[in-house]
Amino acid sequence: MKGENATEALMSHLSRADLDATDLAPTTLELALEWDGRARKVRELVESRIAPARGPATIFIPCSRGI
Amino acid sequence: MTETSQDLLSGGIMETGSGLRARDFSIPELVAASLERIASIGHLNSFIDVYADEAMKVANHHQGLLDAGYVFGPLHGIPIALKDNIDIAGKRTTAGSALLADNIAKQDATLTAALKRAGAVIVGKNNLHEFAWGGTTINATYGNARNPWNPEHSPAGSSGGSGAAVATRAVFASIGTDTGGSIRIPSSFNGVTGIRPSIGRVSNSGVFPLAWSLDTAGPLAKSAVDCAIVLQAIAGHDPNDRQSARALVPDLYEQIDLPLRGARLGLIEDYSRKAVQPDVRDAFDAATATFERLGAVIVPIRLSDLEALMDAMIIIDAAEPSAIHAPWLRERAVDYGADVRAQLEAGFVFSAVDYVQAQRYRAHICHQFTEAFGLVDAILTPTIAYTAPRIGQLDVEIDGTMKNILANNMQFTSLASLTGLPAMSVPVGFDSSGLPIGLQIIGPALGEDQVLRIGAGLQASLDCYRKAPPGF
Repeated sequence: MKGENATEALMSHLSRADLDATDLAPTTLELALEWDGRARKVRELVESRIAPARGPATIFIPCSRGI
Repeated sequence: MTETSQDLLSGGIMETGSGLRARDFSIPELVAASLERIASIGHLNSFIDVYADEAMKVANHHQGLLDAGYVFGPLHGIPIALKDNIDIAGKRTTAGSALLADNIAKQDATLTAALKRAGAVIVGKNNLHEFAWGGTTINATYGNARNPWNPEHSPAGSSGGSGAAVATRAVFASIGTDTGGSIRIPSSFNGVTGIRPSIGRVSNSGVFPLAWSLDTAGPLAKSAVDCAIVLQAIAGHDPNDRQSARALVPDLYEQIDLPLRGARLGLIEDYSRKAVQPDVRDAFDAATATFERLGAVIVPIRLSDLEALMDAMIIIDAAEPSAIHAPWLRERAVDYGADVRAQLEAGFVFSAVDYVQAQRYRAHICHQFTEAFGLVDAILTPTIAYTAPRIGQLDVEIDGTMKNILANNMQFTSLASLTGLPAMSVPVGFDSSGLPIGLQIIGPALGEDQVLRIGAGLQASLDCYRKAPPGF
């Protein structure tokens, strides 16, 4: 089920970006499935541990001026 | 190779520059030795382009200036290379891809111009993983780069050609780029020293991006001292780069030999020594003991929630390149190597919310590092959990289980990548097969001087960094 969701998400996002989802590299789907698992892990950790402890105003701002 | 080239290329930048200024040898002789060495290592595929004729012209020009009393500084007349995702005006920047095989840069990258102003002689461009999006430098277009310690093994990536070129003494330094570990891991695998500066310390203007919020450029060289000299030349604010830090750059060389007595060095509990190959753990422990003998204090520190470190890293490190490459994926997908194309396509699996959660995780880790640097001057880890695998090898054995290389290669380097902190890899030994092992020193924000001093202090007592691969 999770694999189907990851594939659907990938196809949907590729389509939204006007990319041809019917002609992908041989390992794209396998990699996307693995990376979808990583996204779930981060989401679960952030939602369960970081969000309550650190509040809503914590996001690293990419492309800020230096550090 | 000739005995003369061996002699000229084996020293540090300061010592070699002194030889030039004392007329012990000339800039053209030094550059010719570098070019001769480059010609002898063609089998390593560490260079994409070599500018032999032009480099000799530049060398003769600089010798004329030196003879007339114009001394530019410590890099004057020193042969250097650039990873081929950094622009040189009038030269092609391929980024290791067939897509950019004919891409001629209109102007110098900011760091290229700085090196030219410092009098360095740029002899060529180093091979890399396509678009720096990978850790092997297996490259279908420009050839697979190889490790000079054993050509059957990987030089890592994405700055794999840079690591091999410095290890073989073909150049005194190469400027690499580091997003998730692409300076530090090739430094570890090739037995050289390489520093990823803080985000914003070195301008990325004229450097082809991999992931905007993670990218840095920095030197790979023989030693921490040589890295300090090169970094000094290329660091500083650049109005052409919006991420460029406005902070002044301290003198990175002047205090590099201060003693380490009293330095507080952090080991991350349940992380710094965990899930690494035995030879790597032994070398790491021996280096830590050396630090203690030098008077440093080892301080255990605790960082929480690191189990999602590489997951968050991959979300950001994959989503940003997919955004960069979307236009080319529409028009020229077949021109990418199969692995990079798959990574760029798979990066679209992440939702905007996934990306935001990863950036929230990143802020959480940054906060912990900020607190840790109230207790310690630097944090130590291995650079990578294993030594150079064979080219094409997919898994390595760690603690009795087989682990996927792609999924595990940023275990330690992503600590500094996600936080934007400076980090350097220094050689600390060899495994039972004679392959180099690196230690990572992570410093506080904009604390490159601290990182370099700690690395130089170690190298004053642990001289394995002087060892070159067999035949070099």
